[in-house]
Amino acid sequence: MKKNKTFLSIIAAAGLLLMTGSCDRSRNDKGYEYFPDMAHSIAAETYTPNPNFADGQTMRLPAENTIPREMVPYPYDNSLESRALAAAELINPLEATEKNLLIGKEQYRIFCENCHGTLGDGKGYLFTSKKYAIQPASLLSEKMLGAPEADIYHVITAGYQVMGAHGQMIRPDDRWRIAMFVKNELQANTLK
Amino acid sequence: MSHTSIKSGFRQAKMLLVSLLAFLLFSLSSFNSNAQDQGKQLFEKNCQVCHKIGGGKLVGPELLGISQLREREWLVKFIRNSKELIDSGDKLAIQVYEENNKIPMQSFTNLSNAEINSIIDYIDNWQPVQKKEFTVDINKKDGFTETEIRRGERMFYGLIPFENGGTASCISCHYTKNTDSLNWNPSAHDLAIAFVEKNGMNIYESMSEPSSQVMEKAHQEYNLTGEEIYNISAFLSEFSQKETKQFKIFPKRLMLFILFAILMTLAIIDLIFTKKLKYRIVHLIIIAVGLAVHLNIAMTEAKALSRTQDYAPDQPIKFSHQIHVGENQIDCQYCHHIADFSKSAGIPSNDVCMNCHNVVLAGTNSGKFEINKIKRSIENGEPIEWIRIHNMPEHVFFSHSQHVNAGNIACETCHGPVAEMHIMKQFSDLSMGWCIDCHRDSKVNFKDNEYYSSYMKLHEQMKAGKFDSVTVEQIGGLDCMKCHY
Repeated sequence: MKKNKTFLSIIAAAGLLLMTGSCDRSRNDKGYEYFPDMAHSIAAETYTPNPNFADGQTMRLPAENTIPREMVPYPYDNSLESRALAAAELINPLEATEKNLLIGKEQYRIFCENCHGTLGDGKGYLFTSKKYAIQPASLLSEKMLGAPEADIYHVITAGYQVMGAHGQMIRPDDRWRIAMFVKNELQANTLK
Repeated sequence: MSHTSIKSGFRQAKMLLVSLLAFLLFSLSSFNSNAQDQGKQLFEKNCQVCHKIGGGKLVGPELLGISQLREREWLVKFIRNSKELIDSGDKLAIQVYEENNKIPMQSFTNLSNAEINSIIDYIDNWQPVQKKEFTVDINKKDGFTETEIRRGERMFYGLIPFENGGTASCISCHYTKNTDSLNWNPSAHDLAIAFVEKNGMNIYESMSEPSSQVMEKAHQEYNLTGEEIYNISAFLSEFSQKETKQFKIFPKRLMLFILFAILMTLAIIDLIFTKKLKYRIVHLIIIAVGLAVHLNIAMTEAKALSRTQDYAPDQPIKFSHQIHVGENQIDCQYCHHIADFSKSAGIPSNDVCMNCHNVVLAGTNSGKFEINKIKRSIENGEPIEWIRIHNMPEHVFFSHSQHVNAGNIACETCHGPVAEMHIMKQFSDLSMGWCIDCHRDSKVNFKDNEYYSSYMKLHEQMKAGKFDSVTVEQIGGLDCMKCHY
């Protein structure tokens, strides 16, 4: 009978071990594969390393002095003069329809709100939580109330002062939609 | 009597006065150092992005000796709101503005007069760090002898204590092996690589000029001698050649498997040959439980083949999603900005990091070391090699845009509670069953999406009231060629 008990306790302990123990893999270990015949791409994928190029990357820049299809080069930099020039020269190709404003609102939420605030007053969460030390510009200042949509479009695209350029992150149409949203909703609400 | 009492009274007053004066002086000096600290902190937080003290022009002008150059009252006004001053026609302000490429200075209306003054005080009292002279060459980066390397290794591991104090050894913070959880301090390997780099700092510089508060706190008590620095340099230069060791976890399941294999063999032997146990039921129970355990382990292991659930590799930078998404509430799509119109969600480029980190120079937990890796990558032009976690096999097509944009599925549905992950891990198993389950249950925005207007039959059935919503399955979400083509 005594042996019986020891056996049972071994089984119980083992059962507990099975319940609590997860896999034997460390977090850095991907585990095993089973006949991965068609699992790995033979062609180089976007982010895979590539031994054929000197820098080892698969992603290439366009050849020098060429521009990608449908891309319109942006001639203005982030200086003050360019900003004034862009504000005067650029024209918004979109109309302020309800749908455009809705997309603009969503894009504003994703890309702008964290610094410039839900209301556009420059009191975004990153600033109020003291993570970001410099106060972001208010979009409701007198200067911004007087600025055209193209001015907002330009600042998003090229950046200004400590604000980085967001042109490569937000598509041109969405930039216009954000500008329209700021003008037609955020600023319109303050003017009331 | 009265005389003495007056005299003693006077003496008391004098004592009181002296002690009061001493207290006043003391509190003043402590207040002074507090103000100095405050000025330093404010400077690091607000000014450092654009200005240097005694290091030449950055974005804004050099600030060393600024209060001899300009009046304090004007400085306070200019710091508070330079634009107002320029607009009001202040000649000096306009001159400064034009000298600095017409980049207007940020206004600091949120700072009080006292705070601005404390910053100016800090600049006035700033002194360059006194360089210590060493008899050995602490900048040497290779060509060390074996004994020097071994001695350095023993120091790094804490086997030889430091001469001038410092209780913890290097290795207690700077691990030579990776661990199961996140260690915010740079690993020994990271340190070694940063050290041997062309313009890498020597150990004395990096320890005596702490770049962040995190680092300053950690290294306060250390005062290494030249020889110690030299030996540790030797160790680091050798260590930079080595790979980081992978930590191993105890293989519980394998042990369990072996244990039951042994138990079952013993039971069978006893059952057929030795017959020591009276009751056969015991043998049978052992064999039954053993088989169940073996099958269970075999099944879970087989299921995990080619799937990398819970894979959470060490990334080249200790980037924490918990801090960025959880604490800072940055939207997923701010960094993964192509998720809504591209197949891949995208790995953010260095530019995206720098949108914030040109101002946020030090992390709460990691100090400057991890953020500086981005800067080094930009300067060297060498991309940061992030390690891909989620990867679909080549024979499956998966597009983020379809799910994020058309499907309107929240990122967390598949990627799990990313806002709580310091180390990013694969939350879902990404198996076919998992895909199919979701396609069966998820409803499609059928009425409002023009794309589905050609699904005449479904529209008719819906009108007839057969069902009030359409799942992905009904529009062909389970067809083989939907994902495999």
